[in-house]
Amino acid sequence: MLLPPETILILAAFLVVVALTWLHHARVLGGRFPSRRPLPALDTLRAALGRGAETGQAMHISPGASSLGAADGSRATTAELVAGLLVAERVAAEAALNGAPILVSSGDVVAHLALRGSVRQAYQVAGQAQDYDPARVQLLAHHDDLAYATGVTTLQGREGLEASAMIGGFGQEYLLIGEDGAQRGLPQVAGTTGSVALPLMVLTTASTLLGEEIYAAEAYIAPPGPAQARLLTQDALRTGVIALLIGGFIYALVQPALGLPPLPGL
Amino acid sequence: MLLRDPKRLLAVMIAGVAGLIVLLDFAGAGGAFAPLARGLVDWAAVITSIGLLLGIVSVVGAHVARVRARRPDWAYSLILILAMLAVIVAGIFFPLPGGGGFVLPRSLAEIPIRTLFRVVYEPLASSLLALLAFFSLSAALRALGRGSLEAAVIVAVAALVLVTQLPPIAALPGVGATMQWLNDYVALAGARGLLLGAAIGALVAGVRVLIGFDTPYIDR
Repeated sequence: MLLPPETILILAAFLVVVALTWLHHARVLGGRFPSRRPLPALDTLRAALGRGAETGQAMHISPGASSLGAADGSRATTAELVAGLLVAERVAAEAALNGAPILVSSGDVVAHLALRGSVRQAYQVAGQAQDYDPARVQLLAHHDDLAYATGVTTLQGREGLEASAMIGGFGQEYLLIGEDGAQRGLPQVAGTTGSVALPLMVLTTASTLLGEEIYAAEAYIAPPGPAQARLLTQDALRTGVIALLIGGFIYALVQPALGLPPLPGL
Repeated sequence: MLLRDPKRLLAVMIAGVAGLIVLLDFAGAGGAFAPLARGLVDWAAVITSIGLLLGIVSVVGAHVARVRARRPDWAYSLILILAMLAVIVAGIFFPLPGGGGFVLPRSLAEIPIRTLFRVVYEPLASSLLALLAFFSLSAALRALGRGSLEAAVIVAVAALVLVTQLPPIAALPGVGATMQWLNDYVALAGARGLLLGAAIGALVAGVRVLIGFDTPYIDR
């Protein structure tokens, strides 16, 4: 059975990414860590974890109302949710190690179950399984952004939080959460890839992760190790895309003069 | 490490193969991949439904415990439980008359659940959405007070867009064309840059999950 050319092209690109991922993973396992540019937004998170261990106030972590693999594909924010899950797992691991309490919320049942699993695992891996409290992983709504936002504002009012990290898929409902947190003086770390929520995040907190930075956040929170391989792969792919864009731009400039065939789609 | 842990290896293989099948179908491979991928996506929908049941159990358990212990704001928990019961009762015990007898509503968008949403939930949600205008003003003022350059740019652009949409301003010569140019070249370029960066991050995150370097789905 022969595959269509478009499929072969996609598969080839996929295989290149897989090869790069393997290569960078091996490189990091070999002890060659990437140099990282500072992400000041995550300093707020680390500082809050340190304070939480002393004050006993919980750190709130949320991937937003992101949904994991919505079957209809209409509002799936799976990749953002995976980023949020990984951050939640890392923060939970750090919290388990230093004794800072956490409170995790979500707005999707599948995300909720995934969070319960990943947070429990984080405590187990840290050797603090007895400290894991399933009641601290809360489902606030299901596929309803506004209901989720009101749930989080209620938590912010009731729980006396140390800080709030909201990294995942967010939309305009973020403003209800972020502004409420800002009015309460709650240190907030926010990040998403959506162009609707990003300006609102910048307005409500100085600690904002923009776009792709949410995928790098886990590697910054984790101790030096395999998680940092993703930074290398992201950088390599970004360099490739920039090279393609510049190459395409130059080609489009010289193509009419040299009588070359036009680029596909132009 | 995977080879020393058969349970983890099996989970990673299942996740990887399932992901690859759906990816091939998405890439237009067709043939046997299409029904396989559709089956996997259907399974995901079923698992989501089971997850919803578990989520309901979790929410009810947490709020019943809150009511029993008379914790602060327990009355809100009681309202939540009653509202949940009202929707379930409306959906199950007030079926619709159909050609072949009574039928249950198929979704939240049908009567009588729809009526409950329209008279109770939608006005509440609309009120919250209306608050966003005031919240955005308050957030903008605070951000300007903070002296954030990014926030100043956002507020300036928002103000510019609002002002240029006023009918007397929009009617001025060149305003519409300038705004269109800004939108088509400056805003769109920024949005595409954001999209490309996010897509690369998502691609790497997806590949790492598929090949088992990140396993947020696995029990250790």
